[in-house]
Amino acid sequence: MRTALASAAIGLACTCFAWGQAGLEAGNLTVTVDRDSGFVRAGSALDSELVRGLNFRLSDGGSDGELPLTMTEARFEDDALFVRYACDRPLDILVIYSGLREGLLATVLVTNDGDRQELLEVALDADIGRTEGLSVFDGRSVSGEPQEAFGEDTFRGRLQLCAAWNEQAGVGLGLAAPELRSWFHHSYVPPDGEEPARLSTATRLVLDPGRDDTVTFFAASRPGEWGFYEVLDAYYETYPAMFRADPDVDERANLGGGQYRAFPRTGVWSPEICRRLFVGWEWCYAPFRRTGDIYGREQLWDYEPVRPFGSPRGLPRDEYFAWRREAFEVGRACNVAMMFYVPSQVWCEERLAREVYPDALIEDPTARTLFTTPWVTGHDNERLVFPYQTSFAEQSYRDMADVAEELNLQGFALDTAGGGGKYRGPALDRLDGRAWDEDGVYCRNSIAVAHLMQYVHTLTAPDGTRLAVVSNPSPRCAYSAMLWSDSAMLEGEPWKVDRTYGDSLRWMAGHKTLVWWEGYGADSFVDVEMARPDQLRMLLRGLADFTLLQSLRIGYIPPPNFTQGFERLVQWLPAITECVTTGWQPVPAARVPEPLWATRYGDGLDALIAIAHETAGTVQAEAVIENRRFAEGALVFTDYDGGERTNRIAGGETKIALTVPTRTPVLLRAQAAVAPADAVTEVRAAAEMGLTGGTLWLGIDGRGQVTVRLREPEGMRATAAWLNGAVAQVRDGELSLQLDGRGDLKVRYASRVFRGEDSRLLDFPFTRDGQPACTIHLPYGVSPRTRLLAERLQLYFRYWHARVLGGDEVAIPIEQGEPQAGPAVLITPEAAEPAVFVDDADVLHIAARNERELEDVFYRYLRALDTKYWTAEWGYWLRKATQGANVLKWDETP
Amino acid sequence: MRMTALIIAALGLVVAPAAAVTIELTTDQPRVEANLALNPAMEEGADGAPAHWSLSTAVPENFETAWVEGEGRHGSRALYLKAHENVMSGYWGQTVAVEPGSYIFRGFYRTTTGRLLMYAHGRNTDVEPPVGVDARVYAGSAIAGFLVPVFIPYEALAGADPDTYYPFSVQVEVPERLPTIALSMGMYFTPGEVWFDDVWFGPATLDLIIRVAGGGEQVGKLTVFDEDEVDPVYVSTADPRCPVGGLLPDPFEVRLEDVRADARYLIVAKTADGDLTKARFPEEAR
Repeated sequence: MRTALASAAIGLACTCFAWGQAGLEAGNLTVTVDRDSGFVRAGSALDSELVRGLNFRLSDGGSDGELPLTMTEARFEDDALFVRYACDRPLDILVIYSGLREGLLATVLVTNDGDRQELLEVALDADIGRTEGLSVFDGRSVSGEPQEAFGEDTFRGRLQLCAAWNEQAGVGLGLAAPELRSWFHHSYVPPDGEEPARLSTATRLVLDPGRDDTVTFFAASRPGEWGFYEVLDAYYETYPAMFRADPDVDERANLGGGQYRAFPRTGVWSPEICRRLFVGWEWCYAPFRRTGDIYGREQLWDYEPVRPFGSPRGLPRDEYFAWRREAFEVGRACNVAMMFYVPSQVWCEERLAREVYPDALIEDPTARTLFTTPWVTGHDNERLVFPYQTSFAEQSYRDMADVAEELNLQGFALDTAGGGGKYRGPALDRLDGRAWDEDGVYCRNSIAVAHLMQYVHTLTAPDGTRLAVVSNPSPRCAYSAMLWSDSAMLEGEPWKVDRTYGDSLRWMAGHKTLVWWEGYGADSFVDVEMARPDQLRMLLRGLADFTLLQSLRIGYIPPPNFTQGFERLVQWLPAITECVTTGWQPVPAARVPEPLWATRYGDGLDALIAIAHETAGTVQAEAVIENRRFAEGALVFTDYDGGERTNRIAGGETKIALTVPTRTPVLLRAQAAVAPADAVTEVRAAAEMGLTGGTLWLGIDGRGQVTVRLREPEGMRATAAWLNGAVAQVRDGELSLQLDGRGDLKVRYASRVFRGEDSRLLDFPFTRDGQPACTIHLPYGVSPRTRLLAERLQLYFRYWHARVLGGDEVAIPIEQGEPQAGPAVLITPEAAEPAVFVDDADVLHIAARNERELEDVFYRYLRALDTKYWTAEWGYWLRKATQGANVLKWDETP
Repeated sequence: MRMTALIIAALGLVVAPAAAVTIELTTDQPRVEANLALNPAMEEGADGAPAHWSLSTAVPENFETAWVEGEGRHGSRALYLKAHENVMSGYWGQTVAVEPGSYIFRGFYRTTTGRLLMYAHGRNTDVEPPVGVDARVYAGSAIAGFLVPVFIPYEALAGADPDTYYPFSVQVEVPERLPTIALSMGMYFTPGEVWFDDVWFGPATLDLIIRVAGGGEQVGKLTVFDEDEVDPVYVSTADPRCPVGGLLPDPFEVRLEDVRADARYLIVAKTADGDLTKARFPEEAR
């Protein structure tokens, strides 16, 4: 039951309006004040009947009742609507409606002028005028045409956004992205007599005497076709920095995780395994002796664990520190960003927590606060603590800064980042984001974790990058867990719990990278001992295909436990990684009939669209791409690898006929945009991109003047073009063409770095007949960083000959100084410009202006060499399934 | 394990009847008495419900249970459980009193599909620090039904014969100050169905006493194979009581100390004429 009606709660007592405008327009919503009723009226530009009002509501936590409000002032100033309310409490209440990018913000400022603490619940209500065909999203689930109150009363695993929509339009509400709150709730109440339906977002405030608090709500209206994904899209667009990784952190945080290929132990091939499997960071698990003492302070080092120390944590302190430094250094040599694991500092060895940090203890009977079974270190019992504004927080921040400096970290891996537990300890009074429940005031641990993540971003690595946060929040996390994470893992497989278990984490992450974790766990399905090899192959291929599809459906990178030795996934890994790092988009804007699904990554010419189905057989259908949602003009697609596609253009949409086999995705890549869209009717597109250059062919049917904007593949630029054999001018990746029926456009690309012919670079004679065929040269006096690249090139061929071909290692000699004769490789860190080419003396030059650029160029070259020296790597766990081959191939019918 | 199985199969091919030789297997204490589980064979009960066993779940409507006759390991009764969906797990269970020490929880299941969890668990939060145990074993197949058959063909999951009972076993370390634990057997968040029978919960190790009587035949060799090991765990030819190349005393008794309660042994007595007599532990132990 609704506690009170808005119309009864708000009375217009004052007529001091300075309101002369039609209203505030933002987020496809128009907000006005109704002088007669005192309502804040609202309307959607997309459906005039959908939204009627957008009002603020205040309730008292003590009496659990709604406080009648009187609007005392409403004025329009500086593109914002200011509405002031009074109530029978000593509260000063000001609501400011304003626009921000794709959203409308309602900022509520409440000041407690009284002498007692106020426990308040503030809500923003959207009155829904039309409920036919309405669907509602409560932050976790969708209900179609709900006839009863809807909205699951849970905090964790729930987005800070809710939405209601019909076929035409939708409206979304929620907390503004930077809001850190201990409680929120979304609810939908269906119409009741004269009362319209109401969609609400509420949060709770604790206001001490003389203090104020400000909470900002978000609202937006969007078209209805894509449901609550539309509101997510508006939200991401409104707060773009919060849904992409911090641009100043190590960019390797955007790639996949290493799953312990680079820590705590490495093998001789680890750098190559990590590189080939697109590992960008490592989850450096618990590199400390005692949970809570992550640095390893001398005064805390010696203690009696509840279970015996394992190795290496049982080492004396100086030996352990030496081991740790070495482990991080070796891991870093794999070109992997080393993320120092902490349990989000919410767990601390029990005795340490009780004796040294008692103010941080969380006493919450609804949460697990003590582990007495082996967990973080195995030998400790661990106690739940609050790492913000407590003595433990102070020590944790100091420890994190110190380990970062000592180990040259690139970031921290924050486990258990979901933020469970309510803190009511002695630091409570000075905490922000507090809420209240039947047991009084509390602050949720998610707020402490968010502050910890913010703190990590204030630390810097030696190369000047900010330290990154890679987290493990779980889909049942607090909404804030992903906001300050740069990327995250889902500790599970694509089939964990159910097919869509990872979806809510994706919604929270926005465009950020997510990775699966764990592995296939074949023994969860079959008795591996009893199963025949062919049964295991069938099982593993199926799980790998499912992983492939789900990785593209919702944007997760499969890490090495899924890819190593799995031929098909390693083949798809570059594409998956490119999709995920380009950024998942909530609105696919690509219509496909069921059982197909479509997912879009990137906007405009960066767009990639994955399409697949999860049924047996082959599906033939047409994909209709709604260009206006993410591009100018008509986008033209090829397959991911440049394979030809016919793009029919009609009504501003691109239509592509598809044949989609079972368990096999189609991945479309935008290659060009043609504007105006209605000038063309069909474009056949194909591309062939190599290392030094490439070609794009467009067969265009159309008439009139058009502009063709071209995708620029990484490191490439369009250098020349011909329309029907005649030269066409390319300027800044654009062509202006006059079409008269059929036009065959050919565009040539050239690499900015790789020069000459592909064959000279790829077929360079590194080795011959199992022997080195060249030498690697470094200028005198190069740094260890540059020398490492020479060793990596050497390792590349040692790996290829020994691990892949199974022969003897072939170590190409590394020498100092310029080569006297070829074949030779010369790696130069201080060249005039970046370049990779083979000169007439058969010297392969790998050159750049500085070490950082050199690394970039060098690893791109290795990636290119992989096309010739390709391997799926191998997994020893595939021995039985493959009868000793260690590589699972797809050479049998699924 | 595999090699042992092959050896056993090979032995089976050459076995000839040797009715006179008997092998008697007992444990100290006797296995039946050592079994702390109540109604372990599922034969006791009334009004359609088994004695001492009950269903535990947060969503009872997701489960169908029965105390079925004619479905047990030896044609007797068994506990049946069917989970309709993956919304919640559910378990047949009972609580048993325990002392600190090592135990084995074992039994037999038969399943058509679903992921099974059998576990012994308990926690005492009335003491500081709290103590507890949670010893688990999973079994079964097709944990994610939505993957079948498009991604996982039925043929890939073939393995567990739906008409065959399979053993499960898990070791349980009971700490001090934990007076009782629960024995639970059921379906872990998957749809499926399962039958349980012949549960045993008792000390983790027992002394196994093997007594061989010739019954008029001359026994030349006694060998004990652990089905999980390649080499025999006992060979009489290495026993100083048995003269090399000679015959075994009649009767002959061997005590194997601290045998795991979930061990699977094949005991083979060979007469001077080469005839074999076999017995299996624990199936034939008193």
